[in-house]
Amino acid sequence: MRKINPNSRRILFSIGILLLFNLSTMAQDDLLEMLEEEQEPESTPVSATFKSTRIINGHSIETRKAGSMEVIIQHRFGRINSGIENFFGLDEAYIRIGLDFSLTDKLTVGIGRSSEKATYDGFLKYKFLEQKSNGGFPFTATAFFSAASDTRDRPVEVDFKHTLSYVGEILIARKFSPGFSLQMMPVWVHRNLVETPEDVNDVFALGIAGRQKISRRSALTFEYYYQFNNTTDSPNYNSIGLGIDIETGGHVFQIHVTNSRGMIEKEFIADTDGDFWDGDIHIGFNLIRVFQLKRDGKPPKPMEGY
Amino acid sequence: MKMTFVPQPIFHLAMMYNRLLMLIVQLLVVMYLGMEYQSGIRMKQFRHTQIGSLKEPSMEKCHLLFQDTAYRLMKYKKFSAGWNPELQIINYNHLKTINMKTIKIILLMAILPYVSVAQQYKSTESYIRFFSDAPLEDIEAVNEKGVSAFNVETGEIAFSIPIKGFQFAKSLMQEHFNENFMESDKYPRATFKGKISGYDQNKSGWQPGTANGTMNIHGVEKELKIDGELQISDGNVKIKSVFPVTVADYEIEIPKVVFYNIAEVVEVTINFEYAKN
Repeated sequence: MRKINPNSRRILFSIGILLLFNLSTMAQDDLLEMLEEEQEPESTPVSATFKSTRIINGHSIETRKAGSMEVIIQHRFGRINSGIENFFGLDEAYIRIGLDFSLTDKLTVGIGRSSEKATYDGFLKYKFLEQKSNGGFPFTATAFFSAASDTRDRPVEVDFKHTLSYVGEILIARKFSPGFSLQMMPVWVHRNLVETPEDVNDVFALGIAGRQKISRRSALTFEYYYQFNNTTDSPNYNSIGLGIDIETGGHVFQIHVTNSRGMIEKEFIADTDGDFWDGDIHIGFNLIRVFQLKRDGKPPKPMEGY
Repeated sequence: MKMTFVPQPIFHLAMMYNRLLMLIVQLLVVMYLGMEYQSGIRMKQFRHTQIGSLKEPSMEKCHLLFQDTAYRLMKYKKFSAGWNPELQIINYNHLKTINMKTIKIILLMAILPYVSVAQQYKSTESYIRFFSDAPLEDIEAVNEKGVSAFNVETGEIAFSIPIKGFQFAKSLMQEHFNENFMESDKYPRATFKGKISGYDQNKSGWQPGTANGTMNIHGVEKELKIDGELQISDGNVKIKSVFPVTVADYEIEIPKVVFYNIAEVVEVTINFEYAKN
């Protein structure tokens, strides 16, 4: 071999050729690296922004997958400041039993009956925007509409239409990290009939709620609704709730403290008469059991020829 | 690409060693050839300059670019003094052979990487199923989004399965699987990288093979030996295997109080179909 002449042009030329050949061979060397280079990070809808379709009293942006039915039992005890004669509220019970059906992955309808004011309610919930992972759409948004009928016996006969109230709500949430989610919800509550002439028929409010996971199967939640225009002679407070979500397989168990007695929007947003800071606190829980009525179809069959 | 610093298993080291060796050999060959090639071009140009008319060697009268080549060549041919007009003829023949060799070897080296690519197969279809047989409830999930690559020549195999691609009959179960067990936001894929041995690439029909390699599930790496079967035909490879995966090996926590139990060992079925890359 001839003595190597340290000519920079030659070395550059050599390295050029060398790189040309080696770049192509190196890229093929590691099969796994090759596979992962080819698999682009998918932008998929973010799941489990909240673990349940309810946060505390109010709804979360979550809708269940098509074909599932949720049985939801919501329960509130009496006020803890009502003393030993009421066993700190545990003697009293307010309950709502509800059934939610997921017609599609994004559309849920629900019905329920509350013991408070003997109210029947029904709602429609539609998830119209979805937060996507890997730099996709930044938040999830769900529209919510409900109607409720207060069927208490009244001293004066009222028309059916006067028992009705409506709630329209836009829920906007973002899962900031696997453990932390935040939701904002502007709400409009319309009551066809109010108790006193001072009460307004339309109440506007803004809610904020969040979840922070504290372990793989439990999370802390909070919820607060600020009313903009509800003026009334009777006590009226903004709804506050603090809770813990516990997941156990097919169940979600939520236990919380709140100053609201009612468990439907019209009640807890516009008609909360307990002062949280004065101890008008109700211990409560939501028990949610999900049933899969219709399966998504049979699992794919193994491939032919195997 | 994400950089991770994990201890490399032995076969990685072997591969790295091979790569390094190849690099060194290539470097030597290409440097030599590169110089020959460069000087070849120069000599051709040098030949066309009117050096024959020169009375005596005069480096100053040559084009500056060719000075070193001419000088080197004279030393090489032991023309230490005086100018020989025969120089161009001798040199011409010498260059011709070098150039032919250069071209052949360069061509060969250019083709080499593609020869090895031709032996690589990429998956076109996949079916991955996991099945948990527990007293309370059988749980099954199927994923058709896995991808794999297989080198028939060397037996190297790799596959990558997106966790979110597992479809369960119950959507809530799927959510729990992703959120609580697999933490698929943190660990989006299960991967395997290894080598299949014990098969004959010229044999047709199903034949047994054993894959040795590293499985990565839930961010935990584990050395694994998987028995399976493969079928190699022209331009098409099929691989199938059913093997147990011990959930606890991958630090996947199963709570004691769940309303559906997951078996401690789940059965995983993988089917891949490959076509030539």
